[in-house]
Amino acid sequence: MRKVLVALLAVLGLASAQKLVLASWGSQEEIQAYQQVLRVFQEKNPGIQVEYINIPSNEYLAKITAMMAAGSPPDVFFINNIDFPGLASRGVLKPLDPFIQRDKYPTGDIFPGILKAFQWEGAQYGLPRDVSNLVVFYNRDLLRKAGLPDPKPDWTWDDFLRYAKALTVEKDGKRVQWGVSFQTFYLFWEPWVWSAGGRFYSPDHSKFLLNSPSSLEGIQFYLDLRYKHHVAPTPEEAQDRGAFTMFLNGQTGMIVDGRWRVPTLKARAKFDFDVVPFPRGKAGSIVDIDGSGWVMAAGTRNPEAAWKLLSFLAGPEASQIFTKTGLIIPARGVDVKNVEKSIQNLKDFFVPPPPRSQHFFLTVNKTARPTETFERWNEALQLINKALEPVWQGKAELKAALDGVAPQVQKILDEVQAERKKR
Amino acid sequence: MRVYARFPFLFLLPSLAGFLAFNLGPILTSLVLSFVEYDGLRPLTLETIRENWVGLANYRRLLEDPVFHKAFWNTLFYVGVAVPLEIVLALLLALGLNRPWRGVKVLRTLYLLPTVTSVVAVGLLWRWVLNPTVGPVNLFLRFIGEKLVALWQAFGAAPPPGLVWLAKEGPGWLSDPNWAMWGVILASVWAGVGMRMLIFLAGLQNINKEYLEAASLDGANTLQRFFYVVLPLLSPTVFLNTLLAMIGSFQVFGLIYTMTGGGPLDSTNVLMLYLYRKAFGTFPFEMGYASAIAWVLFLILFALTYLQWVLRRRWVLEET
Repeated sequence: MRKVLVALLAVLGLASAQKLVLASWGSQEEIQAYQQVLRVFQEKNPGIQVEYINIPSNEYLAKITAMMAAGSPPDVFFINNIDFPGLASRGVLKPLDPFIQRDKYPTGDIFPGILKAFQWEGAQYGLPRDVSNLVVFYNRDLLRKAGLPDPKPDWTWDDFLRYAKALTVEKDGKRVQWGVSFQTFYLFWEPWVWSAGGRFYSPDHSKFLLNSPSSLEGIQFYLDLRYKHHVAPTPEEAQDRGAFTMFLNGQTGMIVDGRWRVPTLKARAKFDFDVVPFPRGKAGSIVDIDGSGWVMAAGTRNPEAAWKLLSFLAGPEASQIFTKTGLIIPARGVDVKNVEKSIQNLKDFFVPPPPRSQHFFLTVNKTARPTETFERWNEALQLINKALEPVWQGKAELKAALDGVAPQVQKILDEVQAERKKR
Repeated sequence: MRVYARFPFLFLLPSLAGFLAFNLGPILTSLVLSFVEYDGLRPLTLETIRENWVGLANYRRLLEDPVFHKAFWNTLFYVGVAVPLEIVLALLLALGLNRPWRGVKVLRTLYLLPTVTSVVAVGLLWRWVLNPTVGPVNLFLRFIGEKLVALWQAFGAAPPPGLVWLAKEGPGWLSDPNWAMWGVILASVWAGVGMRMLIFLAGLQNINKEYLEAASLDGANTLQRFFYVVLPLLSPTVFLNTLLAMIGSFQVFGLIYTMTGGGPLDSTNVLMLYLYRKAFGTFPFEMGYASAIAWVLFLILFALTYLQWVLRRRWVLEET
């Protein structure tokens, strides 16, 4: 009889070991970081078993959707702030406020911009892991050759143009070096729009504002780098060479890009490089603060266990482990009022120079804002990109192109407003 | 006798079960989905279907969608050019290689190699081949252009601007909306002609040599022999090849996805690619709309295949 009872208890014990599924994308180094984090988590929570699924980023959303359609979504999964509204607005995520308030979970040292990016209609649905933003990378060797000092952190658009012109070099009548690399992905012209005082949409996403005068001013300045001042290569001049490749090979002097470029530059650049904040426009120097974080599926069968996992992943201990990989800027561990002071706390973030001025990756977050995403951001962006395609190639006029696509984007915004009212 | 009647059915069962589960089931589901707005974020239950039922709204949207129209006409253009090109080239190749020459088998293998190459490899290869600055095609075209320009100038005349452009630049191929589809068609014909040639070879070798001998005895030359003996006897093969090529071309996806992704400016956007982008492209997904596109494609193919079967009775020679 006793043997039967013991066997029964053992079986019950195994069955009650709660199972969770955690999903994310990520490189080999990130997988190792996850495994390390999960090891610490398992030690502290022996009754919870976590199965970690790593999905390649190009099929990530399709796979998560497939799992949701099958009725077995991952309990906790990673998502970036751009795709977040699409999920949150469809009610497939669990709000975390009850858990946060009950456990008095500390969120005071998370950059408010990125914390807000994971809120939807006033409720917190996710907790961020990292922030990504943009700075200007510059080739110090090329700057020296042109007789320029390092740019000052509060430099203006006119200073930027001056530097770009000095870094554009011609040989035998053909340009062989350009001041700045040119990228048409929205992320890289977003700061030009914002710093000129423009916006993509009104804050409540009811109006399309990319064709407003200040937005147009910002994008036109960027476009002029290519076709008016000739300090950025045109598609014909670039000849299929990627923007970052050209910077890496010393063919352009500057590039607006993010922290994720640092490992590649350290490994392969044959020149000294550094970073400086985005130049100041009429409205200041505003870059994006986007990032990824973890959310909980609404259909999870173990919300308590899932919260334990999620809160640990977003907590200070796990944040240190992820930061040590050198691939991310942590969302946590920052005293927002005194960013410089918290830099002491983030010693794991800093890699040996170059670049020397790594603190800029943290300080620009003060004025940064998240991308103006909403439920149908991707759909609207596709229309905008299509309209801008000929503009980037110098074959169409900027205002005409954006005015042309405005009614279609406005239609999407109106539909979204109607949907929101219905809810 | 009764036991014997059941046996064949039992042998069919595994294949039938597979068909029901993996073909018929999803096909019927996609039909239902085309009347629903579905993003895949919830399991597809009867309740989800009822809540998101939109009737013919997806189909009506197709009628107004300018990108769908572009994809539709692009697909028709692609099929209308690539299929005849492939068939004619394959027929010429098959006629040429249907001889007992030395090395003809090697040539046949070489022509067949592109067909068995992965479509992604073909796409990547042709992206380089069609590169406007360093690709072999434009290097060759510019060479021809220069020689022609020199010829004009040797006669003291100004060469026409078209030739000057050819000598200096050449077509922009995959970066130019006017040339991209032609580039894709080139790659597709290159990749597909081998299989068509193989089928033609089989058809040619089935032609009884006695008919050809009888025709030449009656005084027919090679061309007459081709049009009055070979072609009629080959017509079932031509029918088969055209049908296969057409059905395959309507569903082109991998090659265009790899070469251009549908651009530039939707010039190479075709139905399958548009469908895929709607179903799995931008998040949140629009699987209901994609299903409607899939069924429109099915109806087009069905209609065209039916048309071909009707024409078959008129144009294809039936063996007695």
